[in-house]
Amino acid sequence: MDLIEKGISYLQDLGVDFGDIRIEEQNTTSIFIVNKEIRSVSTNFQSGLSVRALVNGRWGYASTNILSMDEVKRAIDAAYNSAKVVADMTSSKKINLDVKQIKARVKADVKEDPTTVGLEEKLSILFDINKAQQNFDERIINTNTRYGETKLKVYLGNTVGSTLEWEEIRTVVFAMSLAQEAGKIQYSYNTADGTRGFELVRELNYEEFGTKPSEEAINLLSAKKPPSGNLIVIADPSISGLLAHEVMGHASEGDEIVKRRSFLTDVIGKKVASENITMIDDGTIKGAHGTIPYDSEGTPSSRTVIIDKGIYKGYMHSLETASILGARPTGNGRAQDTNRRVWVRMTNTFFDKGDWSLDEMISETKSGILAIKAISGMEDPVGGGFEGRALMGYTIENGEKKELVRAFTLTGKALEILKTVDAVSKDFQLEGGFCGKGEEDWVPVSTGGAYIRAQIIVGGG
Amino acid sequence: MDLEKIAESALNLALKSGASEVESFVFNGHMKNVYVENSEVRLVTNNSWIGLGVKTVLKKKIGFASGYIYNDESANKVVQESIKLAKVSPEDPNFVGLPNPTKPEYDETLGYDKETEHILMEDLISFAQKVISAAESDKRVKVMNGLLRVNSFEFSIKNSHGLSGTNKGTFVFLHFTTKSGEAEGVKKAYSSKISDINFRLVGEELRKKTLVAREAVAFKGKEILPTIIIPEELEGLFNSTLTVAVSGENVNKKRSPWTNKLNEQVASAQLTIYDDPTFAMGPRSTHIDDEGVPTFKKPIIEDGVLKSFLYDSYNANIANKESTGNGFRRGTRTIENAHIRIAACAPSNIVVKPGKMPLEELIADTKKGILIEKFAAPNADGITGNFGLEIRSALLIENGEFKKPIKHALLAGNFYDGLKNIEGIASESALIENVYTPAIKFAKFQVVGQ
Repeated sequence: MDLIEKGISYLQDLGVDFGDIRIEEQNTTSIFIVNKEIRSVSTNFQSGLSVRALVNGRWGYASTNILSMDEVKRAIDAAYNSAKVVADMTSSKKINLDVKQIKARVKADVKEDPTTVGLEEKLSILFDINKAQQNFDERIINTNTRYGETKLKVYLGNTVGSTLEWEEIRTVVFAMSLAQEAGKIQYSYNTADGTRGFELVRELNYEEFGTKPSEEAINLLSAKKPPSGNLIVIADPSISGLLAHEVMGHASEGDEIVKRRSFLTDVIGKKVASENITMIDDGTIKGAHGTIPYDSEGTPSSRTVIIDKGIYKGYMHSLETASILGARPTGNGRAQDTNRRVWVRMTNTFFDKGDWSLDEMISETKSGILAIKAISGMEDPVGGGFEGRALMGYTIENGEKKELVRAFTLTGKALEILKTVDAVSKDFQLEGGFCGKGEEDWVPVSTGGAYIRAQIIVGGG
Repeated sequence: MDLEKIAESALNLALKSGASEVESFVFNGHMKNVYVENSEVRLVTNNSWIGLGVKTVLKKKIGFASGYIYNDESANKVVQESIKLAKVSPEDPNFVGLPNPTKPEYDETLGYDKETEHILMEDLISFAQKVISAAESDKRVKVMNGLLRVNSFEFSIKNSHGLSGTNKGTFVFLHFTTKSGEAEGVKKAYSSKISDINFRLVGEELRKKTLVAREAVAFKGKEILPTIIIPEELEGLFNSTLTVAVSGENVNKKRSPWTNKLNEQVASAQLTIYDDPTFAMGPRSTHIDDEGVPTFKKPIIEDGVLKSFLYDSYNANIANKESTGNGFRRGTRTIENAHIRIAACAPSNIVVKPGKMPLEELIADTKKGILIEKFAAPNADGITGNFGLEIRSALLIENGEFKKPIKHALLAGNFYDGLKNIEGIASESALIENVYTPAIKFAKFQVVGQ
């Protein structure tokens, strides 16, 4: 903290409009098991420092991993000089950021810090899961099991006098099984993750956790070709979450609104979805993978209601976009690490629960398809187009789940899909992952929420 | 800091601490980024770091630790952590040994450009401004986002078998997006040399693409059509399928659809693809891979016949073969975090042999077809080859001429089957990430409208 305080005073002497210094210390451990054998055990620990300087509405950043005062001063000079060069070379003007002074220290809210658990124990659990995957059926030809833990400590100071220290701990277990028969290959996966400690692992039933992806992969070997056309789709949380995150979420990021790039520019107060849809970005959900106490600018995370019963309510913001659009910073200014820029990013993004049970949703569907497990999707803040791929599904006929079908693609205009949502489940689930913007800058997030029933185009099976 | 000295002392410390084999990899990276938003350069970043990755082996027990380093103490911590992991790790029965030293075939300067390493921030800003002004010379086009990145690095790799190598490299990555009405344009450019990139031309092409996308109308119906895919969109398709299928690790694990198909016809006889570390512009142009093993140019597919799988040393040993110099840690658009990765089987640069017909003739030769300008995200399932991709912008072709541009459709098919049914390969190539390919005309994929 001493290095940060001295650095901040040097930044103030240079006369920046705003500046901050952030140190991140990150320890990660990963275990990777393949076909009942160890593939790798690794740890990584790194400390980096990032300086940001705002001069006349233009930013200069610099980073270093050498934490000495001389090197920090060099980074500050580099950040300040870069910002000045850009400000001089462009038609820039001053922006005033609404930064509140905060002083706080926050510990990670976990039961069992994973760094205190011995490696032997972690290995033994992972082998148990992998064995359950591999032993399920002889047609399982390849099994991967991964464990990862990350402990991040952040120290932040800025030119308005904030001093913050906080921790984030994340734990993840991932299992993938591949089945082969008569030249056909199918796979499935299972995952558990969150801003939780080792209790996340201990709560798992290892046998069940490993068996599930193998069973699904085997079943997919004899799955039928999916139907195509404009169908009634019950999207599971991973797929409804994809729509919430990739299309509606990215288009609700403040920077996309400042640029007027988003198809959701100027829609506050307008009806954009059926009244069954409420959409939230919430960085405060206990244990979720995208949860953060503060964003990378030191703004406390918050719950942002984006759509309330079909009516569009508001965008997510960093300090800069909030200032430009006259809104409140929502704690969504995030950076991948100290080498990367801060920009508006989501946290935990989802469609909120409704009052249907999944069984009711199925039994009241005459003809349609239940889409399960998202395997890919892509953002489209400009056009508002949705593209998602489901790993598998079940056809629904006369209110009953019928045949298992192979992977298929779901597409359509997000706003048109959301207008047709007539049922939203009570069942609610968040699934973690990493979100990129412009194909890079990965930050931990989660998506998911409720099952939704809507009219969606199905194809590409 | 002297990278070779750091690598040497980490190696010695690990041996002294009881390791039977050691590999140390010290990586010094620099990155300059110029970010454009809303037609203006708004943010620039300067990054530099030194990272160390140490693999230690105690008989067949392996540990790997990595971290940023800034003095002896931080480097020693990486070594000690690696040893600690190796001690508790179970034996890896597949591990045979680290690679032995071999003299590289090519020059150390491959993939490095001095001018690129020392480029000034002011110059980068003005290059980005050139792209913006060329793209926006038509008032209907606005630049939304832009990134111009210069990576430069140097590393030292040593192992306890006496292998010792150093490598220096540079590469530039550019990614700009525009908006015009509801349409979006995207343009990427890559090279190991900044002087290879014509920034004005990049901006002009971006403008043209945006204006085409602007006119696109939603596609209706369902048709099976010959499909021309341009290099920008082929890169993702190759890297999600070919890269998976020829990986020695995937072959060992039987995940590759081409397992047991060496010397068999897997593609059209028109298709020849090289793994080419000597391709000067490429981001993985290099005389050694990231395990220090010499690289060499080799055909992956020759006249449609599968000729080689790509191996790092670990997977080569399992298959009872020699490493092909394809153990990589460095990325193809950024060099960050190379030191925290264990080398894995990956192509250097994928170079597709061009055909004889210019793209224009390939189009003129098409009675009915489609040319894909932009997918939402071009990738196929590497294990099965299946894909269903959202078309953001494409041009329908009739009697050799472009008809209206279309959008809101799905292109569906199987990419491995597509490779077997190629109708033509254009004569002009472009580099996208580590893939240097011409446009390819596939006999038939399905286009599904709304």
